Amino acid sequence: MTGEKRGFAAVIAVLFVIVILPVGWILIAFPAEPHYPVPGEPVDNAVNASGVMLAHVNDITWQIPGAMGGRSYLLEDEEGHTLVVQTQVFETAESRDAAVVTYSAHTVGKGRPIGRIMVIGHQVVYIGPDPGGIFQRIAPLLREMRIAG
Amino acid sequence: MSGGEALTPGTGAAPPKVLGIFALAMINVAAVLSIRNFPSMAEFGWSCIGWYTIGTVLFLIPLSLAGAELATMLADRGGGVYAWCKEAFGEKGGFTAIFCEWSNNLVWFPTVLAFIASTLSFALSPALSADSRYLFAVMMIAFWGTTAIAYFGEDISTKFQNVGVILGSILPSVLIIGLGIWWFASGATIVLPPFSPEQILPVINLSTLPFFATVILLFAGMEMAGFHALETRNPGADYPRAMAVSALIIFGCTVLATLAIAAVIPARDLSLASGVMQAIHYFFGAAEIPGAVAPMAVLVTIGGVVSLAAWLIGPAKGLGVVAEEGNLPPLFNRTNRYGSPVAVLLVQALIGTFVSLLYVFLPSVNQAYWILSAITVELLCIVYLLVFASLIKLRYSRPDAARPFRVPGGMAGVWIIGGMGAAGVIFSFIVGLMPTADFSADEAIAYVGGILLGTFLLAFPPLVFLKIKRPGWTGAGSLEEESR
Repeated sequence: MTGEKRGFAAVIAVLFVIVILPVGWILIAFPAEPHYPVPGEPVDNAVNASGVMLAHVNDITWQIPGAMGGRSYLLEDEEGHTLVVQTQVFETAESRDAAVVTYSAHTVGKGRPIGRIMVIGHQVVYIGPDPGGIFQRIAPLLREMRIAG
Repeated sequence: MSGGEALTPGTGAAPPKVLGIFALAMINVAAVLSIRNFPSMAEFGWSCIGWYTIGTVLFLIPLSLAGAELATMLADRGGGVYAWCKEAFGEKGGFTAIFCEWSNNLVWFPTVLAFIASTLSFALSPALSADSRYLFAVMMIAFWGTTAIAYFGEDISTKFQNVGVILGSILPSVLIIGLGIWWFASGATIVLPPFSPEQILPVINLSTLPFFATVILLFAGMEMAGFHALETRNPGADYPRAMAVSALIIFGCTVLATLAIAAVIPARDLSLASGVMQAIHYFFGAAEIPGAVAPMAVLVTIGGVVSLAAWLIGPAKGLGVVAEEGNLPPLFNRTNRYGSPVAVLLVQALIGTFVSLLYVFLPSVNQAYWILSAITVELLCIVYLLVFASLIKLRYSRPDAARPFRVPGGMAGVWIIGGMGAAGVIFSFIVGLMPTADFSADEAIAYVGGILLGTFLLAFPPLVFLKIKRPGWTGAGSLEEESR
């Protein structure tokens, strides 16, 4: 291998490292969510505890592989702001993770996806656009459930 | 993609001038116009108009005007943002700008590739979208296929993009708009509330700040045509017109198609967790033409591929110019007989493949994906901050340079346009560091640390390369070794 080719290999190695380091660090800091049955409806519990009003709820099944059904909640705060939250149970970790990949792939432009999702055991919780800050009120309880799992 | 005997050092031989207004405009449209934005933005109902207006005023117009002035002023230089920022801030500024434009793609490629694969599954079998092997296979075919198209030079990639952007971006947008008009004319139920001007106004508060930052960069990519300055027939006249044409197409298609979806599908049923094709499925189902979903999936897939191509080719060309000028080791300065920077394309493809592997096969790392998206945004903010700063700086450092197109309004106009754009991206950068409510306090620290570390590592290599740069790198290439 000539010196020039060694230099090329070194530069490629550096480029890999600058990608691997942050990606690796992030993956270690935020490990995979385990797939386990969650008792009850986490959003129900969080909404009840937060004092946010539940304006409407209905059953919903996302048209994606492995989705077994869940609920769509319309939450409303004292000022009339609304927030759509949907939950969906997945039969396997693979199908749940595929849903997460699908969501993450739907960025707006080169930015981020709209809304937010949380993974709690076998459930994926989708939180829609939140102009009223309602998610801030239910997030702590949802977070506890996720971390407790 | 070896083509050993075809490899030549990038000596800067004049490339063929094959691009006119239409081709330049289509490069920008390919990079910016995306069907996947429509259902996302439709969740906001009428206020999507307000959000789009914010993105237009704070970013689309400033970047279009800045790009037009800088590209026409430096029409004889290759490298797009590299040439613009180098002229204003020297090699460090130019190299940092182009490297950030290139490196943000390395973490973004898996996102658009996963979008392509999951969308195509709707034309084949939706169940495939949960199969990691299928996802990875399609992602690699799209990625390496697009890289191969880039390998064959400007002429082939331009033809591919021209056809692709019409089929994959403009046609689906027009179809959605047409169906929306038909829906309205047929007297079917419009789920949007009756229009009133105040409904256009977006709600801007602490909760919507992250989205505000996203909207500012909604039209990122308007500088993409600038990478093709050397291949443009008449840059002084064509580039500003191409910017205007592309901005009008992008804004018109985006606003009208988003409103069409918002008018037909109730916001409660627009679950972004199940993707853009679900919205299209619902949309065509409501219009009683469910058979159109599969062909539409193919078109949207094509749109994803041309978007990928625009981002894959432009910054790689820019980095190729950096290598030509001797700021990267000589082996990066390999240009094939078609004028493509093959070494940069190959390195990019290898790293993109590796990151895609992690993306698809690692188990659920929801928050990690979120952080990677944030790193993409932060790197883009650095690029655009340098571009807007270059616009202002060059009016002072090169006041007499010929500018076939000038930002209107004299120095005040430049400060307003450059200042608005810069303020928008600085704001986006800061907001990009704010964790969302689902992160715990401990996780928030890791979140900010991860973004800063990732952004730093993906932005600083130019400073290292310039530090270790040797005089022999300039114009060296690797022809001698190849001929041995």
